[in-house]
Amino acid sequence: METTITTYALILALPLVAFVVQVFFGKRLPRGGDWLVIGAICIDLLLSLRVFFGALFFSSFAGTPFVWNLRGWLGDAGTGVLALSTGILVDNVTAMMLVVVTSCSTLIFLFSTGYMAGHRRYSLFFAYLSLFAFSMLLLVLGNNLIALFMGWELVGLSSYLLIGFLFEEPVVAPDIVPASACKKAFITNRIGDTGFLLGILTLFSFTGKIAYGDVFEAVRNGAFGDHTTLLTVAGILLFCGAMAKSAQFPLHVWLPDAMAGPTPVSALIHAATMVAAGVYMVARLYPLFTPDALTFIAYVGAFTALFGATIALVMNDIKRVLAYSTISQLGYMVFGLGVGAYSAGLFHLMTHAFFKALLFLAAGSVIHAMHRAYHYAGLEWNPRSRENDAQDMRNMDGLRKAMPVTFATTAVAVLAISGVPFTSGFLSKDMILGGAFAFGFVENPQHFLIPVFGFAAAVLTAFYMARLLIMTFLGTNRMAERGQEALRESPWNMTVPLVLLAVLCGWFWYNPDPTTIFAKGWVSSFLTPPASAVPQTLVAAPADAHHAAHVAAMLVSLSCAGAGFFAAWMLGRRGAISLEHWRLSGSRVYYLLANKYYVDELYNRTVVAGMVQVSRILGWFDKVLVDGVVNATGRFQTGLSELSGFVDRYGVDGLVNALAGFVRDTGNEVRQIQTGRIQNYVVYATVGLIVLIVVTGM
Amino acid sequence: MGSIQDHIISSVHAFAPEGVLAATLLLIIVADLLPATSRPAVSLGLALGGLAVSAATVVRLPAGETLIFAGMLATDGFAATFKLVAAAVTAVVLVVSHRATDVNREHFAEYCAMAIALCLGTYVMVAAANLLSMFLAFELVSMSSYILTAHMKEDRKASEAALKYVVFSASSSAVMLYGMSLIYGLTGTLVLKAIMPALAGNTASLAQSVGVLFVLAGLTYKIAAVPYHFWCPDVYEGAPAPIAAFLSVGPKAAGMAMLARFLNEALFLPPGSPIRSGIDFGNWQTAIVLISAVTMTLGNLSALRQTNVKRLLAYSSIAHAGYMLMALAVIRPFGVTAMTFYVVAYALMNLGAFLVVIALGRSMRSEELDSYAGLGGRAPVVAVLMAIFLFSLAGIPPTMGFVGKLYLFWAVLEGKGLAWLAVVAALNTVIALYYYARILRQMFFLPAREGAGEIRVEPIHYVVLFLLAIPTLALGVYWGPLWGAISAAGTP
Repeated sequence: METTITTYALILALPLVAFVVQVFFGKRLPRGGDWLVIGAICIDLLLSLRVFFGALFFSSFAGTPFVWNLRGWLGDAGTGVLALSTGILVDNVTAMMLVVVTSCSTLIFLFSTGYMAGHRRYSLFFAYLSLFAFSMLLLVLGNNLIALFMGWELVGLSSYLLIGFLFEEPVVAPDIVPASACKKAFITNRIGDTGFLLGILTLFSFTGKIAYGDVFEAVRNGAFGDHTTLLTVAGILLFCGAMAKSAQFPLHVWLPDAMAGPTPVSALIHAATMVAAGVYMVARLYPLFTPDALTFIAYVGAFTALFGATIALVMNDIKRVLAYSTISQLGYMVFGLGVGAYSAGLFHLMTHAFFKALLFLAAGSVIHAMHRAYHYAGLEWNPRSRENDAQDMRNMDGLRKAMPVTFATTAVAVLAISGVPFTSGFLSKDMILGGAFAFGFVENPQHFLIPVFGFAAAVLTAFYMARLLIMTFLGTNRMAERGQEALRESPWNMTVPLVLLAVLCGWFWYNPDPTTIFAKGWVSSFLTPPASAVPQTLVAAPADAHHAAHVAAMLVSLSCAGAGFFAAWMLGRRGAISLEHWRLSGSRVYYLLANKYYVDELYNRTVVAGMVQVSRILGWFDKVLVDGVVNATGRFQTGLSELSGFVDRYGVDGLVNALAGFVRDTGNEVRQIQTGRIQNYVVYATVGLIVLIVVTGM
Repeated sequence: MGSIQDHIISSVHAFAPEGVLAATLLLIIVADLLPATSRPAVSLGLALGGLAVSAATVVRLPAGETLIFAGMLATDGFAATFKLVAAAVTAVVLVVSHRATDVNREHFAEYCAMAIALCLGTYVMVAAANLLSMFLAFELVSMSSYILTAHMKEDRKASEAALKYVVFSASSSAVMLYGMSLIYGLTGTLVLKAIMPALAGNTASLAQSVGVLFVLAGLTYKIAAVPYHFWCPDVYEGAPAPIAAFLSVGPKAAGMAMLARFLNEALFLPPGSPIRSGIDFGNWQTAIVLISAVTMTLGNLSALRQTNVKRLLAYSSIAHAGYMLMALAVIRPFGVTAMTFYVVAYALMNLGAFLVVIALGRSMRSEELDSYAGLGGRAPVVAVLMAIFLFSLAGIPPTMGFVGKLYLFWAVLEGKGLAWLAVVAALNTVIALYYYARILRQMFFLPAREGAGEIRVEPIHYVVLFLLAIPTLALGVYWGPLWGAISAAGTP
């Protein structure tokens, strides 16, 4: 199963072409051109599957990744000035990412045809989706840091466009405004990108290379010499980019607000693709991270996993629960990579992409149905209260009967995310926790907090996910009588993606044995960690204890999930645990969680307020000083052109008249044949030539 | 005698591209005389076919420099590059003219024949390695240009422009011929490469300077640079728009090539030549630097207040001649390569901008700037394409105009003591931005005038516009191979 550049060029070109066509002609195409975008991504999916299965069954990339170079991209090889080439690199990780991105995109695009039906800018929405797919594929396929960065920024741009897609709507959920949510996402990402760019520049300044292989090679050959601290710093700077894109604490703030976008966008951005970019980047640049940098990454990830899970406990907006759950799950992937469980982190990226996309799409399906019901019943939503809020879980309850497909598929996803056996989530989460167990309890006891955080987050995950399921689908519905009639299952183009994603949550895709991923599954052999490029003296002992810790970790994580489910059951059925009580008792902890640890407030009071102050000062500076200089220059220019006009009118014309007098005297006959002006021209030119001769002669 | 005959016969092979064009020219005239084939489409087809065949012959000629016809013409990669540019430009202009309003369809065969003659002239101009062949080619281009300018015989403006053109051109030719005769008198040779060694032993420095500067002056007429630029705005305004486009690109490119060859072969010796140390290069370099600085400044300043788009583009093309000259002032192959690269960029973007004027001419019947008001709403595709060309002319990335300017500045900064010229050029690009932005402002920020009619653009014009706009953008992002090819083609 040899692959050629044509395949990859096609994978990249199709969504880009679809985007361009869609932007210019989308409105005029039948059905707003959705078939074009979906067709493009479907072909991409088929091509990606071909690449993936080639890699899986025929080991196309075993040992030697596919590399293609476009030489002389910047500068040129001839003069050797900044001769950089760009190109494409495909190995097993790329193949897996291609499939994840294209399959999630295909299903989400299909879902969008139902969800966005009848929107005024329907075709533009699909254009943006296609741009997003292109950016993501560029990010995944590039073979160098610059291409990665370009894809990275394009992903940022297209997510900005998608999150702010409903910009005319003043408020879509309590205190979320699309127009500011997209700005928040963009700016937060820009902060991380600054770190990322600095990291790239640090690497470039030491190695002079941008292609991954070349950079690794140079680092391996000691490009950093004795400056290993700088290599650690470079690694942490690169990770800053991942922190923003993959919503790790403290740059996670944009993700919950980003659900201001239409729900398919939340699925695309939160679940499957964009947030995975950070994890992909850490995996791709894995050889560059020193043990210190990896430990830093592990701590950030583990803390984020717990942090996100605690907030998700008390959220009532269904999409917010999912948003915080995503933050928490991304934390899992990141600390998986950090503790050296490389294949586990990437594997979780894949399984999470499917079950989280499913959860978001299911939430979309629910919200869609709720909206319709409220609309039918003539009930208006007041953004200031939770009354008639289609996204508030407290208004749902008992949707099980009306929406059986959505319910069943959500239940599968809840089991998967909680790590219940026979699901994909069990395999991947277990693998990460096994790695963390080995890292924190067996090999590096001083880092015991990492597995503790991980297991604590596992308990909370099971709890809040079960709570979501109970509050949304079980019990009796609270919708007014009239609304009840309108509550029904979503159309096929929304349920089919749900079912397909639910099927992908089964264990059997990944491993015949539902209890363990080790030994038999394809994952650990397919996603082998690359050799580290860090100088050998720094490398910690290989974490081969993962396997040994596996059984212990599995038991602990199973009991964690069990504890979480039990607590949720107590909450739902028995009322023994009541969040409402907790809230009413005025508990400080409750309010701390409900206000998301006041991180937004902290940023608003410090960073944002500080920036506003600085920009005020700069504004003053601009108005008084810069404008002054500019105006003065402007006046000077006007004066100059007036002077030039003056010279033209009196000087040049005067000279001409004088010369014309001379010419008039010498050739009155000739004057009658020639028009006045051409005569002048020849005189000017001759005078110019004389001046030239005089000036050069001197 | 036998050896001379052999030489001539062997030269004919390398003269094939020009031969093809000459044959095409005759064929068009003959076809027009036959009633069955006397149709514009036939003339156009013959002309395009001839251009394609001659371009193919250019490509197929063996690489490497050869002098043919006793050193009259040089067929090197440099000349080949310019010949391809000339053929492409001619083809674009003819395709566009076929559906342009201000071209007389009854005399279209004549028009095609003259355009081919002009192209033939530029072929010879870029290859001329002898003062005599230089002058002959120069005149061939000039003659064809007058006739094309006066193509609309009934149009008084066009006739006036053509007349001005003839008179002005005659004076510049006279100056150039006088300069050539001085050089011949001092050196006894017309072969470019023999001039420098002969001048080295000569002590009549004033006569030397005057001779060389007179030849340079004649060349400034062809590239519309100071001091012989005066014809340019009047002729562009009066001539049919496709011809204005043609004149702004074809002869100018050929003039740049001829100037580059004259400077490099006749005046600047290759580095390392033993004779170099005894010669004062300063004079001629100073002249080029001065011409360049004054030309770009004057062109840009004059463009600022123009209200006619064709006149504005005329002044802008004067300014661009200044930019290109800047790179020639650097006595290095890199400068010539940068100039050649810029010529390609300039051909794309300037033809594009003129073509927008032509395409809109059908509906607007006006070339005044304020008739472009609100174009962004009335004809968004054309307006966006125009914006691309203007951005490129202004040198804003990611367009080829930016990359071309980058190389020009780079070349200048590599030349010793010329940093101030780069500063002047940088200031000039700022001024230029202002008047390009004026067009953009009219198109996108001002409302359409009352009673502005519907805009209809010929489909073929759309096709050609896109064919020009796509490379303008694409080569602004990925120019490596083109730069490589132009570098590989070498310099005279």
